[in-house]
Amino acid sequence: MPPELLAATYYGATALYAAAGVALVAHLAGTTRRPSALAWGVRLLTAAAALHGLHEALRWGATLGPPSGLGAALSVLALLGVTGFLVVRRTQPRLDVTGAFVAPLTLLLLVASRVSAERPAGHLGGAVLALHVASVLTGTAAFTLAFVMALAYLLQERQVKKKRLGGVFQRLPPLDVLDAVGYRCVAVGLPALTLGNVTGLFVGARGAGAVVWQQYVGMGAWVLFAGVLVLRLAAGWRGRRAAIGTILGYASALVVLAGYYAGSPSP
Amino acid sequence: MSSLVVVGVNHRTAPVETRERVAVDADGLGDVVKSVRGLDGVREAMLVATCNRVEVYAAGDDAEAVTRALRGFFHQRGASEQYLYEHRGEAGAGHAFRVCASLDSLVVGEPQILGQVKEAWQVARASGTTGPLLNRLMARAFQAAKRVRTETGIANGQVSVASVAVDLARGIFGDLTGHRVIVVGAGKMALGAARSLVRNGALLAVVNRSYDKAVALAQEHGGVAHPLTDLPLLLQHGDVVVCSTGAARYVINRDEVAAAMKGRRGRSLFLIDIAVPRNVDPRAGDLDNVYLYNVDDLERIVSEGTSTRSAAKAAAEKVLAEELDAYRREQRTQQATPVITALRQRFRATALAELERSLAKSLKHLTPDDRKALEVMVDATVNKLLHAPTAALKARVDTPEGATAGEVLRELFELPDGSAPPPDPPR
Repeated sequence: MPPELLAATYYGATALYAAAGVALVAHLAGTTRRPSALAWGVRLLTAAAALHGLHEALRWGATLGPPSGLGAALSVLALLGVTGFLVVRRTQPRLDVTGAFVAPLTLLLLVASRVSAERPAGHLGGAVLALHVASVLTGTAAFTLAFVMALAYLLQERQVKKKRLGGVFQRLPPLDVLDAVGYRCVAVGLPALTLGNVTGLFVGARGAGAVVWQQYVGMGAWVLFAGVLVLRLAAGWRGRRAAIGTILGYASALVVLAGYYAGSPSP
Repeated sequence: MSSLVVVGVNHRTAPVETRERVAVDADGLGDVVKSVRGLDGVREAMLVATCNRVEVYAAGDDAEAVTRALRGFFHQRGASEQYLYEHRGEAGAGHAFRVCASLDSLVVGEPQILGQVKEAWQVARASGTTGPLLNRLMARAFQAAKRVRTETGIANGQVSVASVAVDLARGIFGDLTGHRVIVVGAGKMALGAARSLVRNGALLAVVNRSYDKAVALAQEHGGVAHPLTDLPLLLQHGDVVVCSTGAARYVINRDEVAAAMKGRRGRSLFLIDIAVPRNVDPRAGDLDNVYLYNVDDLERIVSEGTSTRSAAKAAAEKVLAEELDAYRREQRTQQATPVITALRQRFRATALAELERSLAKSLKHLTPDDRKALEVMVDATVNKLLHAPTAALKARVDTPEGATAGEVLRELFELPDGSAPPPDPPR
């Protein structure tokens, strides 16, 4: 696999994410009155995701395996997150504007993936480990979307509470829609992260012979997300509190991911 | 050449009683517009009838005759001369552009008028009363209105308490279908806001200290009546509460709202307090997922919406000026087109006639291919000869010299008027 092709798809996707971010943020902030900014932003984001997907396919083809380092994991996480957004927006076109959060976040993850050290391929052997990586990434991608919805919710809620009914209020989706979509994302992400944690115990036991600190953080993230779900179902926890819980949970999930790849010994 | 004439009454020129007399209902619009088209001198007609305006757009060869006919139409329907306005030619086109762009509306920027004019145009088209002038005018006016809506902030902001309530409720709940609106009291503004919410699909409950009054209001507005004692329960189940009672103390206090929020399991609650003195304890607005707006908040938003529109109005006027200019150029180019077409036909027919004569005599030995080549050469020669005068005429369509040049060309080359076919070329 020519490294130039990998680099070209990476930089192409990065540029497209940046362009999508500029268009979508400009639309949300009201710095452009062109109605096409939103549509172009989503188109650019779709194109960026396609190129990003090609980049990952080429990399997987070259290394013959799943993400084998923090960099690759962040890149796959970014791809899963943006793909999830593009799927969800088809059911709720009013969510398009939340691409203004998705595009910069994806760009950030993709850039971080480049500056993070790669590990040599092949150390991630075994079905349990592959299942662990896949479920943690899927769960984190779903939480990425939940995180985006929570950010948008807090921004929109602030507009309504502060009685600012300008362009941002007009352009963002309704509070209930953001809350409902965020809830569904947590509901999808939690089982995946649960599986990730369970398989992580086996991986940790096989590798270091003990539960490592990343697994504690992982369980912490799981508890936070599970708490958001349980409190929502049992105590009617919705809106602002649920959004803050989701953001904290997401931050913990990212720490798990980063910690797993950056600090844990090779299994 | 057809001229445009607009005659009508609107919210600025005529009181509602007069507008009611000339009003035309949607079912009868087709017949009425046909009757206008049948008036003396009217070649094209279209009638726009809304609660704020009834106006006829018409075209005919003699603008004076068309104006007389349209004024007569309004007089017959009970609108006296003092209430009528009239626009002709480009002023009429400008009026159409402003109406479609909602700059002539009572509430500037309201979105309904464009749909209403489109419907009027569709009815007129279906009735066969429009022609090239009105069709072109409306296409341009709709395009201009679309530009105004998308390129300026004319549609942003709110303009009435009712529309603020709907906008806010949508911003919180999204689709309002099936959401419950509770009106506490009998204030007109509160009922107006509730009506707007119900029009958007919400369900209405009316609460009043007098149960009989609640029943009467509920019947009038299509809701369900409740006694005031039901209010704590309704706070648990409602989504939007509009308060407007004459009570001198809080009708809804913070603890009641906090208790209701427990029962609501975190669902958002939107409280609109239109009463003065206030009916809802302002501390209720500090609770999670509770959004409280009082009359000052609403009026501030309304005034912000109005000032935003004032700024956007200037931008909208600029867009309309550009579009009107484009329409004007197009109209004048179309005026020059018959002269250019007639000139080309005259030159080509003359040249081809001469060629045919030669082909029949001195050039009859030529092969079919040679003849074809000669025809092509004649066409090319005519095109080259007429290129410069055609370009010059088009370049001057906006000027009086252009009109004079057109007249001179007609006279010099004995060109026919309008769209009549040119006479046979001399043999």
